[in-house]
Amino acid sequence: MLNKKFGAIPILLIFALAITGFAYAHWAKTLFIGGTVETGTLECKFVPPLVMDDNEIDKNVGGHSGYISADGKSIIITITNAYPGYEVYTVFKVKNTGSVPAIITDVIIDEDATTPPPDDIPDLEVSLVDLLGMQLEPGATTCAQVDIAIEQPAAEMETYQVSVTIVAQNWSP
Amino acid sequence: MKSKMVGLFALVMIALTVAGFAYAHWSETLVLSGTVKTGKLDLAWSCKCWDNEGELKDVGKISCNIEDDTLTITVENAYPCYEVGGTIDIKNVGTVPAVLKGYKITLPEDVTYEYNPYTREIILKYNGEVMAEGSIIFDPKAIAQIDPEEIVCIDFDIHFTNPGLPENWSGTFTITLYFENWSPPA
Repeated sequence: MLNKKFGAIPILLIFALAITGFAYAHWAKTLFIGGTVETGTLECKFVPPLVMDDNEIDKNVGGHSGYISADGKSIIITITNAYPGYEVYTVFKVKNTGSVPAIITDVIIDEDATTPPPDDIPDLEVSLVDLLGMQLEPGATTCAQVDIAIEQPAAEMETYQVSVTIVAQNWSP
Repeated sequence: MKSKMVGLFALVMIALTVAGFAYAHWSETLVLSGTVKTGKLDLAWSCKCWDNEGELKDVGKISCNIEDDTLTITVENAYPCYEVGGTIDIKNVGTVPAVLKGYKITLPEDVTYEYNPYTREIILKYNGEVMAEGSIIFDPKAIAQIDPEEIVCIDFDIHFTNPGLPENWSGTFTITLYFENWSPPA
């Protein structure tokens, strides 16, 4: 009787070991997924030509000049001998030099420069047309115009610094 | 239970994707900067005066004095047949053209004037009687718009006479010229 019981134990042990071995004894195989993600570039630049004009017809009182910086990120405009009623028009081009479509999402005109304290009446009027909301495909260009008008409150022998910031973001579905 | 967990996980993933999609934009900034330097509207007087007394006598006296934007012509000890004259120059010493927008003449009490723009003759009356007559000559077109560095001349010649010239009298007159900067037509 006792021999039968003891004989069952090895069999039970073998079953236990077999089950346990079954749980751990799997062949293993690993698969790899390799991937490379390359991002595009969002880049816009000012490109030539830069065309400037004013509202003087038969006189040459005020002066104007401008250029595009070497990196294409800035346009610098200089207006001299300005007076109330004088207006300068600048036509410029923006090119998408990146690899993803760009959208012009914001045009910010520095109001502190055009309307210095203490009053709220602007000394200068700066306006930019044909750019906000524009979508540029890679390689595409678009034209826009910025107008600077000197208003009556402008002071004599004064220097004003005007700044217009153009913000572009990548297009997305 | 398992399917619920999977569904919950998928929802979380979608929410994160949507949130990430809303904020994940690249930005590019271009700057347009400008410097605007304004000019100056400024005019200056100059004046030379004379009278008809010559070198033998010095009874009456005329003088010109300029202080800032004011030209003062003073005639002292005038008498009938005393004649004074001069040339007044207005020079645009600013950097922008100046346009004459208007003028104002203020005369002493009881004094009136008549000016003929065709003959350039002027008559001054005191209480209705002629006290002086002469001429004021200038180019209306020239004074209407003065370009930078340009000079406009005004010549005047006044002969004091009777019966209107009062004795022991002092009168002050002012002529105010209003200029604005020229600007292109709208």
